[in-house]
Amino acid sequence: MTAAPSAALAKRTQWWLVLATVTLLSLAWLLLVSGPPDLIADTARDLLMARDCSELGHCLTVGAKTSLDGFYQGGAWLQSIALLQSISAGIRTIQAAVIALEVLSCAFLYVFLSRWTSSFVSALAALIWLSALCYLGDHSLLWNHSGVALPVVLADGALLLFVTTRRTLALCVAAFWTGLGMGFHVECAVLVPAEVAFAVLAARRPRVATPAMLLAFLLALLPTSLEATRANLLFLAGSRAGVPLLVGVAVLVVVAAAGRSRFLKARGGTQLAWLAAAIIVPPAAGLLWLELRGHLVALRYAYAALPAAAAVAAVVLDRGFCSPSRRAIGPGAAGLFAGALVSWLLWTSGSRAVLSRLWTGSEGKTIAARLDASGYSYDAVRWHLQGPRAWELITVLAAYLPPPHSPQLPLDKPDLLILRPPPAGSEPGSSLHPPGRPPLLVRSIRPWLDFTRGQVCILPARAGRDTEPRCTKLATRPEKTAGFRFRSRSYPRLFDTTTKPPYIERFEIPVHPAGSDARRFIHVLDARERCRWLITGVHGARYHGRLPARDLVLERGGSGDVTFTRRVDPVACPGQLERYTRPSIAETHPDEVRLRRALEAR
Amino acid sequence: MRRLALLMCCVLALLVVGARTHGQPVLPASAQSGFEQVMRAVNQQHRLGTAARITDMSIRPEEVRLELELEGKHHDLALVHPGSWDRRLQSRYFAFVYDAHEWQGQRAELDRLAGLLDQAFTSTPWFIPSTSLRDRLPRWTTQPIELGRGLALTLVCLSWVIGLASTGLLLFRRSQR
Repeated sequence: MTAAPSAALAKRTQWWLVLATVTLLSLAWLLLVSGPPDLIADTARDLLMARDCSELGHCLTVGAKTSLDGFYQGGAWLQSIALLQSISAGIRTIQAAVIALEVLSCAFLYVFLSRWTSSFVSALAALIWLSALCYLGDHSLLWNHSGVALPVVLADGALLLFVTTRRTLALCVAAFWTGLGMGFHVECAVLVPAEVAFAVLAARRPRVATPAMLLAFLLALLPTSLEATRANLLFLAGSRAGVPLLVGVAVLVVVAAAGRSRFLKARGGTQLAWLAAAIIVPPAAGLLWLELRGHLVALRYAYAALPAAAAVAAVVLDRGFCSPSRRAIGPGAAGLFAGALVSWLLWTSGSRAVLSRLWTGSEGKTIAARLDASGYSYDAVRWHLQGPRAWELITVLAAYLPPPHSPQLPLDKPDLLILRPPPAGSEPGSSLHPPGRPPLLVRSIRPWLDFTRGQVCILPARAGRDTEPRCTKLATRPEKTAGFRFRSRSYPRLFDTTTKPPYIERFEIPVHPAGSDARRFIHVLDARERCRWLITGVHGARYHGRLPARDLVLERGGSGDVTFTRRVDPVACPGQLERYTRPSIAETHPDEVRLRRALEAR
Repeated sequence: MRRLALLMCCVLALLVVGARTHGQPVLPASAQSGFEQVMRAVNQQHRLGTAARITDMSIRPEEVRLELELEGKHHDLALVHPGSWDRRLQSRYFAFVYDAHEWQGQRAELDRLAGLLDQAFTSTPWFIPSTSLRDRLPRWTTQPIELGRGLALTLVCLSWVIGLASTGLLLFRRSQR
């Protein structure tokens, strides 16, 4: 064997070894930081819409509304979930699929970058991308961001390959993944201007490459997101942003056409710097613009630019630490950087501690199975759930409970107190054991407070205005059996109001002593929430305690009503959600000290 | 290259002009007459008297805005869907967003008016783009599109397969060089 082939073989072996290391490291790390997936209302909504498709056969090519008013998500994420649901996959399988996509994205980033730069820089970029995935994507959550990782890496990577090789196929692949990525999250649209610009700038035959790219883009986008595309285009056409956007595209094409000869004469490094700027600057500028306009923005909305940003960061670090003149300090500095990176990754996994109060899929599935076996319909659950973070639990249960039965199951069931984990000692109630999670206390309670017969009053809270309350009965509206859609369960609510915040929300709930208790302890829960609920009035019933209060003791022998009040004000209470649902409470016996402490600790 | 740039500029200029036209508040004749019909019906039924009538109505994806003339004064009212996204797919009903102080004593009338409008719009599809544009589009483009389960799942499967296959082809052919 001559020296040249053996060197080539060694190089290839080294490349495969690094690829295997990056892949295994990504997999190990993602498995390490991935506990049972936390479900939030957005996740539950997506699961419900996917159930419409997989169980009822109603598959829409549009997803949920985006945070940016007027725009809709595509349908690819929902249909991908529906695909898994149709083969009886559960939430853990969906999570495993997401992890697989993320691991593949790290591996592909390495593969694409190593065509152009050294294995070290490519591996470093893949690790930086991995940490961005964990930190920015809220890895423990399952939502449409989770599915975007692979499409954006492949789009960015194919663009890189296009600029270095000028092959039309690479441009088409980039456009295809951008289109499919938009089916997951509309944020991927930020790659479109870069693709249009580079089709004009760098293609050998722009007249062929540009239409081919557009065709590939539409081929990926329309089958899964036709309706979302239509809605978004119509919104843009009707909005003030439509014209500036078109003018911007026109200017982009003209500038790209004018700069084509200069671009083609530039060195390879300069060309790639232009590409990096074209991918990174528009989303960065867009986020800044949205931030200045007061929209809710997070760095995860710049996902599409992050693979390119990771590559730039890796190159800068490599040049800074490992240039020939600094070869002596290079490895040490690189080691230090790697240590810092791992520390950062470890720190990001701490985000789970913040989120651990959320309900997981495993808990949702187990509780839903028990409730269904006990004859609780989704309607009954909406009214009869007590315990901390009850609204969040209802949103999760919505994703698991079966469609409404015909005839309807009764709504007049006892309340259920569900608490995680149950306090030590022998408290009455049964326990549930969700796989991989702490046990749960489930206790049946004959409630003294009858929410189904209460009313809610909304008082506008603007200074100097009429503050006459608008009150409506909390009427139970059972789910439709004919024409039922799971998606109607998204963001469950017990009443509607058109009043815009700030306003005061007041629940007036009748007291009906039930069971053999002489006294009943009423707790208002979820004290961590801003602008929390308080008991502000008791009329006609005997009670102990000073109002306003978080808890009080009701005495048997009278009947009346209890008033709960909170302020809904996104300015005074940032992060507060308008939930249109009852306050989260728990009813206990006054002598259950341990249980009371456990409730207060949540 | 220059020809391509010129061609794209022409197309974009046309689109810009088109978009500007769509953005104008002038409605095409058929849409205008449709809304006038609704306004007339509501005005007739509402019986607010000669002093009170709907003078203008505009429809946007998220809301319907009305101009109401009451006792010689013009008032601007918004009708919104109070529900969340899913509710908009399920059912539609309107409720007024109004200043309680300004409209004190008129609420029952306003609620009735909202009910009448609700009836008038019952046949409207759930997604209402800007009126002028909607009127110019074929009917199928304003209806929600539902795919059959098999078709939807096949399409999403195919998208992944085509994407991964083309990427593999791209990388494989590159590595052969």
